[in-house]
Amino acid sequence: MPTTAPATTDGNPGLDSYYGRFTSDQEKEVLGVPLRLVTAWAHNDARGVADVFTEDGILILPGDVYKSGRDEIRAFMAAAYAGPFKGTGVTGNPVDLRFVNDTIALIRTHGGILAAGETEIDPELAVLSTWVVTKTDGQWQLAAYQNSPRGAGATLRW
Amino acid sequence: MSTKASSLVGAAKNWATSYSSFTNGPKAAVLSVSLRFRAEWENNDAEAFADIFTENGSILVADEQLTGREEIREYFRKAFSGVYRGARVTEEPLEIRFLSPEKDVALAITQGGTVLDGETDLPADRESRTTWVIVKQLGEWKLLSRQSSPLAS
Repeated sequence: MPTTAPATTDGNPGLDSYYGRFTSDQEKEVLGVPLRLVTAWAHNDARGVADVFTEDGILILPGDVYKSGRDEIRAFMAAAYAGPFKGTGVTGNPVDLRFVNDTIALIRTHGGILAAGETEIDPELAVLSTWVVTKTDGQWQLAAYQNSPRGAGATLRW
Repeated sequence: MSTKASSLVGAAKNWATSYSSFTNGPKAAVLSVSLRFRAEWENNDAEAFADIFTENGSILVADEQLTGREEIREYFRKAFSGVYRGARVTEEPLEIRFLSPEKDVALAITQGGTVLDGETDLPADRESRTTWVIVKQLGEWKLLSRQSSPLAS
């Protein structure tokens, strides 16, 4: 089961900077979803990444990637982590957050993949992402995630 | 049959295919947003186009992120008299699902792209997949978010 991201930033200035202007408890709770993905990715944990999604969640990436459901996402990520994405990380910051209602929200982030050992996103890897998140049984999860190349130099296709 | 009538019959036949397998029912109502999107794009009508969105609606156009109906209207006023004059949108729905038990928030995935004036078909290198978040406000389906990403490798 996915773990819940910390809802407070006490003693963690990195998280304060991540949340940026989205500082309400409700916003921080929603922004735990990208944090969970970042953590799972840092461990190249395909199951962890898939578990951030709802059971029938959708993953769309530049290139011909359109995965439906945790099983497809897990298999796809496990292969990616065995291949060229081995040792990579991912990072991003929220630039927009809109609540549709109390249990559905939309997050946009700017971020990208970190090549193994890197701490900055190279222009080739820069993306902007939309996260459609829904709350079920008290837990926010990803109903759909899509990213698009950000900037003319963003050439990564999956 | 008059030229006008036969032209309408032809256009209607083509239009009907836009619903793909989602011809009727609640999912067709959701998908109607994408048909209005397509129609106003082809009409090059920035005012009507912007009205398809919620007040805080957003769209990613190539590398340009537009947020808010006003920003969208301004951008497309220029684009419809410039790069997108005479352009048309061609896309096919792949998936439509409701995100709320009340069926007032929906997600749609489409595949296709923009055929520019003078082109007959969508070039393969401009094909994209698109996620739409569509919400019902005061009984009307509105577009909250639309984002596309390139399909070609």
